[in-house]
Amino acid sequence: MWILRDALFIGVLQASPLILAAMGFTLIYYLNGFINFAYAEGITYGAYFAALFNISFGLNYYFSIVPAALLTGAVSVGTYLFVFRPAIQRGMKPTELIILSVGVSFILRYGLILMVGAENVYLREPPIDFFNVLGVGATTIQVIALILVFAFAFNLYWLVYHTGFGEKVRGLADNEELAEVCGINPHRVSVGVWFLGGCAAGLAGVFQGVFAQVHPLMGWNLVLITVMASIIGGVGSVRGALIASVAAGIVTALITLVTKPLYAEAFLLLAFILILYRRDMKAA
Amino acid sequence: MDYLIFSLSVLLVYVGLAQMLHIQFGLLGIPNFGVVGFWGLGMYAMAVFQVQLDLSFIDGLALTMVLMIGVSALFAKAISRMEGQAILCATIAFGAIVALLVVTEKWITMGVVGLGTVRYPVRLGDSGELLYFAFLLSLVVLTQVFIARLHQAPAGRLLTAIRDNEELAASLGKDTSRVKFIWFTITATLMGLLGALSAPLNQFLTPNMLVASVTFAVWIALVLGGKESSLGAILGVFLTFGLFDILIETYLPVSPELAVVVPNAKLFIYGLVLVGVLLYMPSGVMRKNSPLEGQALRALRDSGQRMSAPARGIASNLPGLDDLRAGLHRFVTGTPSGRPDTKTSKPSDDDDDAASKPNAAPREETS
Repeated sequence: MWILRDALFIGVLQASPLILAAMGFTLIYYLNGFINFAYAEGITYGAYFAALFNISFGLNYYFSIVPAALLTGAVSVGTYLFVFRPAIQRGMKPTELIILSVGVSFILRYGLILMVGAENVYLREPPIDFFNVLGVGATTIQVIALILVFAFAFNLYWLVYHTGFGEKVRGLADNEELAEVCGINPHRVSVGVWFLGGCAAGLAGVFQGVFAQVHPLMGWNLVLITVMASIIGGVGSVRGALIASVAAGIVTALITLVTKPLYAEAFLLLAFILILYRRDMKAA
Repeated sequence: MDYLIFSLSVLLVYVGLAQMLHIQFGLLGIPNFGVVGFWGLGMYAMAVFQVQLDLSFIDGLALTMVLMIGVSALFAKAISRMEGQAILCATIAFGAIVALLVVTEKWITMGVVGLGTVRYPVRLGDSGELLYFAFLLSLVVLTQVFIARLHQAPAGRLLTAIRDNEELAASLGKDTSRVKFIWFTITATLMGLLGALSAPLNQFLTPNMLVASVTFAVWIALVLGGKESSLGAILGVFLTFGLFDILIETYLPVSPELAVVVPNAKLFIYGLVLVGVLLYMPSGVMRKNSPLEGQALRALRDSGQRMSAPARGIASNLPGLDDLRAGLHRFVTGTPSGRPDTKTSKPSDDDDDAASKPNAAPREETS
């Protein structure tokens, strides 16, 4: 029984980067209808921006969170404006857009390596307090990350389902022509969504970076599970992405407690293939 | 010289992978993002059979092929009814799973320690590598001949028909899932064969050979060369792997400081090339010019009588288009098609009036 209880706690505590990444990813996927692998680099860039403020400028870790997220949002908007929007306007099909996103991902990732090198970077953590929650240890960062994640998730949920902006997003995702006829500016809404998605990726990177280390492949390592969580959770569903990510986190923790952590990843990916097969067979 | 032969052999392996991807994606429209999975599985299986079980080259190859057919068929079965983006996710996940299992299953793959040494099939001294290169070259040339013929054959047109509009192909009575299953099984197995054949080239295998960049290198080559052209795979690999890995990394005199940067700069430029090609030159360097399809379409438009003899032959080979053409003709002129070499439309000449009436059910039974 203790294994289950520990897996539950560890899974939830460590799932925060995945929750954030999946929520941001699902919005962009929902609006534009293609799997954006360049999203991985949003996670990486978030962590590196945090490292820039945290290490180069000597800022406290907590103060570097917000500017890192905003800058990542800007990078995400940049990829949309300079690459994906022209491509979508040329009528590119989803599969081609995905290949395109791999190209963008290569440019961002290896551009970053050319600029800062491929060595691991370690964020300077603020002093860590351990405390006991029902017999399971947790650190302040984990708890703060989780609180921030749920605050972000709540805001995102509210934004998508209870504001005019969210209505416009859903309208555009449903039927673009109809939405335009109704006077929705698709350009402005898309920029907003790509900015939000980028911010979520950046936050995910900031937390992933402090949980482990910052390196150029960290985003790529997380992106497959992110895609999985948002597809299984239902594309466009913020709540679904949240639930699926927490479930993935718990499964990972459980398998890690029993055997090797790599088996957890292999198991999740295998489960992903089987779910795609069972769903007959639409990704969206 | 030895190193050049090694590089060229690796280049041939990439050409082979790009050729298989050309069939999968360029012709059939299956976005296989798990190239590294099939290639890596074949390579590691070969190495495990040779090093751990001490089998000969031929036995190892045979067992690897059996394994690859099984895995490929299972996987093809799973994806044959999936939609594009789901296939993409499934294949990329497959590639990642293979790489993970190679690390975890230390008892057969030696994990991150690495597995070696895989031997060449025959011990021929210095000329052995050259012979092996010639063997790979002949395989690639054979595949190229096959692909060139496939482009002209009804089977190839069936593949592109499924790529362009699967529902239409299915409505013309083609079992599209089955076609996808068969072709994906064959091409994925051959990717495994290429992996098995590159095991002796690499000799010593480590898990970091199985990174997703292998998949994307093949993709970039194919997209750059022209995914729908029969020569695109070859041209693309020469323009990417040949130019960067062989010419620049091996033969261009670069300072040691710069040499560290080159591999990353290469992948950065690959990304730029991929984005540039997709945005400004979507069909790649080798544009697909298809006189055949143009002729067939013209034949379709002009209909029976004024069709040139070769065009008639092509139109009669096009799966489904034949029926469509006859139907179109009947619709426009109100008479059945007067093509001399048609066997099926002859009996219907008598009940032409019945056919043009809305209720033409009995005609199905008489003919």
